Amino acid sequence: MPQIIIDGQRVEAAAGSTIIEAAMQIEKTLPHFCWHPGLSVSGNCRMCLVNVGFPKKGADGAHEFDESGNVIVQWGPKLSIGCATPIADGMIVDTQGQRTEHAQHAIMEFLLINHPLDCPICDEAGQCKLQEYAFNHSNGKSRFIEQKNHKDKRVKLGPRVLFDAERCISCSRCIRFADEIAKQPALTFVQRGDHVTIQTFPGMEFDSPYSMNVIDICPVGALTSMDFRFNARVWEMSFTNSICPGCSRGCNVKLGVRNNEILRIEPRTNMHVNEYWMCDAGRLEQYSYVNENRISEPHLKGKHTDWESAIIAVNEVLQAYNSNQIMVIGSAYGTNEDIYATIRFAKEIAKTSHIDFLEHRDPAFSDEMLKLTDRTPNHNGAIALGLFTNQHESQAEIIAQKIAKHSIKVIIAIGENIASHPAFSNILGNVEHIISLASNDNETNKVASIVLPSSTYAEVYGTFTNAAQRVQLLEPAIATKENERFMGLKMSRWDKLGAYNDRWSQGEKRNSRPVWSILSAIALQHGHNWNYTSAEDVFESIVSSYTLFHDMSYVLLEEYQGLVLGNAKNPEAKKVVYESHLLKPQI
Amino acid sequence: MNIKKNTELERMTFWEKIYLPEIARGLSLTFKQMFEPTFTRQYPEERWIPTGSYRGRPVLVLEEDGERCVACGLCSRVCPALAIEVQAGETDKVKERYPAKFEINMLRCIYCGFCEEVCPEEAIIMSKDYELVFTSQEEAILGKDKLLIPIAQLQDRLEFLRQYR
Repeated sequence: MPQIIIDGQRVEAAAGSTIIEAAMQIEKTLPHFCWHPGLSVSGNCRMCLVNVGFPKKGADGAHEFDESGNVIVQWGPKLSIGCATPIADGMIVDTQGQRTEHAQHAIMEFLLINHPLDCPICDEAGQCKLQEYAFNHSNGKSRFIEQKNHKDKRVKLGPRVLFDAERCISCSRCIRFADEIAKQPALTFVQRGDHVTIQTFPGMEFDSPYSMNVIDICPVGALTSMDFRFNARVWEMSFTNSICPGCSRGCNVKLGVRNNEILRIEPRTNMHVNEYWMCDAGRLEQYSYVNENRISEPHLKGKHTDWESAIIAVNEVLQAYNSNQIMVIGSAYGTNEDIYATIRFAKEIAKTSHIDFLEHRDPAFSDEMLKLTDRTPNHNGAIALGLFTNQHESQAEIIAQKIAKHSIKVIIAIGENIASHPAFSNILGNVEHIISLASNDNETNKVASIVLPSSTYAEVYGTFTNAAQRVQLLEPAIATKENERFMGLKMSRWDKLGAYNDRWSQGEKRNSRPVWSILSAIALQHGHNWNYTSAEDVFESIVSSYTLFHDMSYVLLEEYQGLVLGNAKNPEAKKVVYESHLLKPQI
Repeated sequence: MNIKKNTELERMTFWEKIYLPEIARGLSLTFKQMFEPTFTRQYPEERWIPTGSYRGRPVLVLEEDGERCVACGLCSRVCPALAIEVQAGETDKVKERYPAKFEINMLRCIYCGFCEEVCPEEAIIMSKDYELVFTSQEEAILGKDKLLIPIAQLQDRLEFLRQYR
């Protein structure tokens, strides 16, 4: 492998890799706009210009040395772009010298000629690459005194993406994304020189199911989300690492939260799962049910009650019926911890063998890239832990038949809206008690005698097992009455410092609990002390009782960005995680 | 013990110790003040009008075609007392952004003027208003209806900022 020297540091990188890639191996990022590791190289922003040279050789082919014995470097006549220059053995790269710096200042001055000064209006402000480099790699002066070029603002590129031509620095990241990743070549440059702008081809619109990724990769605020537009400034939100529960792919995401409300969902780099991308459906559908239509208190026969009396009522129901009249319906929407607690609950407390979960398959949802047919995030976790009586019988029709056959009188529906399913509509009338653990208001709650509010994926610690058997960690982003005292809950300034009389901090804190916590409270009432105080305790007991989960822990899951079932001992090598741009400074 | 005494009695001169001439001197000052011009104001009837440099209640500048504010939220970010809340909305005007909600909690405000200093649009400025009385916590949270002041009334402060900022 060729060896090169970057700023005096020796780097060995694969032949054919570029200077910018080699620099990333020593955690040095050359300033760049148009380069993105997930896209092809276009080399048109010129921001990554670096000084490249080779040791000077004499006529005999030997290196020449100066008086103090150092190798004399023959620098190139011009600077080279780091993103497109392949490394060669013996190459010497200078990324910080006067020549490089001068070029960076010139490029920044050039890019800022026609860039409008509307940072106060722009949604990107605070995590903008142009702002960052104007601060770090610019001399802050412009010799341009003429009128700035005016272009179209608010151009609709597609149903979800809005384009501001003035802010565009023509890096072509979005064009390359549309061509190469979204496979919908709808975007192109038109015009020349400083009139250059991006348009969709006539009669086309950029409506790919992955179109919103261009908003994240746009280094400036030229592409904005029509869903999020002006909802909040970047620095007003806290960003918590989470997993998208939209399908069994388990894309790694960040949840942007302000005032205890999810305002947006962004992809997070995980080279093993979703690389840098996520689908628009996940981005747009997976936050509204966390914010709205929630059950915030336990309900007993349609009336508000407190946790204690609700749990006592659950136990009264459990004791009043024979164990073979009770059915537990778990859910693949829940975390591994929830599913494990469900299984333990069915075995030890309800003492029933009727335990099942529902599959949620939607063939219309899937595609070749990230979206999968299975709409539940933890189907493989449910299978691995054994949330079924007979495998491959997780269809609603089969479960409905079972209810009729065994004349089930009590159904405990854990995170599953069974009443909405047509297969159950005739059968639920014969069931005497439905106990529903649900996060949102739904049809099952209307027919349920006891409703216990459970937390959503955004409010709990937990793990999901995705379609590729990868166990990934969820962190709580939203505070509930139960988890608001957690150490390390990321909170924005708004959530952290608000007082009772501040109107800006009145985000609702719901009285919901994670499923494992509700079930262990029921168990305690029943006389079984499970000794779980945190999701990590539950996970530890999963790890000790299932061989597939052996050697896993929350710390390792976070460190390796998830571990594959049964293979936790030899995880894949950690990769350098590239994030195009982040809020700086990180809070 | 070698402490030097320094009492009031020791410091006084002979004439001061006699006391009577000093009384006469004091009374003469009192009588002189009676005939000099007064500085006391009869406050509610007679109000003090501050100069442009005065930092009173922060207000939003209202121009003919609406507010200057674009709801960038920098005032809210810089506010050391967290008094300001801004929620942006979208308009069809050239400046795409406007404050759908702009509230200043006057019980939190410390009149430091950072919001004015950081504002990129010169939209929030300190006014001359110092008469701030509230009967409840709710009333002390001023919304856009109370914050927006026509630009004609704010000329002194704008002139001050132009000269000294």
